[in-house]
Formats: sequence, C-alpha cells, structure tokens
Amino acid sequence: MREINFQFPNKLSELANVRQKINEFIGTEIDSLIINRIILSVDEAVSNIIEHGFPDSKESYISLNVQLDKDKIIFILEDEGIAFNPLDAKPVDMDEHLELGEDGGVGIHIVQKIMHVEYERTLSKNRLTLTKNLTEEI
Amino acid sequence: MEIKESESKGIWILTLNGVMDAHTSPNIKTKLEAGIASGKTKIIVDMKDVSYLSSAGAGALLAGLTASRKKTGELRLCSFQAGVKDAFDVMGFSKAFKVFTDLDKALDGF
Repeated sequence: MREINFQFPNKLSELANVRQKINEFIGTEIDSLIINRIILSVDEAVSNIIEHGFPDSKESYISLNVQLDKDKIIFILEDEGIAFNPLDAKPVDMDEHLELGEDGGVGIHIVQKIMHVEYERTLSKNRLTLTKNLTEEI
Repeated sequence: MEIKESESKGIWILTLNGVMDAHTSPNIKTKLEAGIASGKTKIIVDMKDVSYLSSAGAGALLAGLTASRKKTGELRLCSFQAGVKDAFDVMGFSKAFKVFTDLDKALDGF
C-alpha cells in the first residue's frame, strides 16, 4: 500500500493543484479513464466542501489522505467547515435537472455515482471517505 | 480559462482553452449570459482545447443552453477530447446537448 497526505487552503483556485497531486501520486498504475473519473469525483467533493462548508468565508485548510492498494483506492477528506452529511442530500433526478437547465447542485450526486461514500462528524471536523474498488467495473 | 470568440454566418463561436472546474467555469457562464442577453443566441462552444471538465463546467454550458433556447436559439458543442467527453457522459449531461465531432459538422445546418 502507498499513501500520501497533504493539506490545502479552502479556495477553489487550489482545485487544479489537488487534481495534479492525485494524478502524480496514482501514476500509471490505474487505467487513465478510471483515473479521470476518480479524480473528477474527488474534485466534486472538494468543490462542494469549499463552496458550502464555509458560509462565513473563514480561511481554513482541508486535509487529504490518499491510500492506493492493489485492489482499491481510498480518499479521506477532513475539513473544519459546517457539519454536512452528503448522504443526506436529496437524490438528483438528472432528467429533471437537465429540463430545468440550472447550474449546480449535482456534484454530490456525481461523487456517489463513481465512489462508495462514508461520512463521519468527529469533534469539529467533517470526515468524508471515498472508496473505489478497482476490481469492479466503473 | 482562455475564451476566443469568432462569428460565422450569424453563429457565435466560442473556443475554450484550459480547464473547466468550479474555479474557472464562472467566467464562461458570465460570457455566455452576456452574449445571449445581447442577442447572440445561436452558439457553438468548441471544446477541443478543454482538458478537464467538472459539473461546474457542464452546468455553465447547460445554463447557456437553457438561456439560448428561451430566446429560440441553440447551443451546440463540438470537438471534445476523449477524457472530457467521458466525464460529460458519466455526469449525465450529454443527452441535453447536440454534440458534434468537429466545428464544420456543428456549423452544418445550424
């Protein structure tokens, strides 16, 4: 098992760096199409934390731990934003969403479509664990 | 995100270059809104130099599509890179749009 840990500020301008770090860490061990989808899901989760977790625009740091094993990859995101359990979010009807044509609101739906999601509130932190079983069809 | 504009036979063509994530996509959304408000309702967004797309980018395009259709226009997409098209499909946005393999095909019959 290999892993990396890093922290980044709760700013959307950090998204590109986060994606790059994950990409470099994973390397060529996983099919590029699958890497793209996994990185998309992490990007959606991080974007959601930054956009909704800090309504007072408080400067903070988000930590990310990535564990890569032969058969699975795990991302653990921890932030000090407001408590938010994405598993409580209302399911998105994509046909209805496309019909209404509104911007936003589907990020968590996409995360759940690609990854297994677990949420925990510990003391003052949100902990979001995203797991992908690499042996299953994506 | 770099946005190049051109016009051909009354069709507004936006060629995007860079990544479309939650940080960069508000720019394209604002650009589309301003153009549509000024009457540019027949739009092609050329995606050939877009290397990454998240739901924020797809949402900006969807908002542009909806706004153009309200003014009896249309927003077409063309020239996706394979990985970006896959993300677009996985997120479930593809069926709302007319997607073409290249700019000439997108212009054809518009």
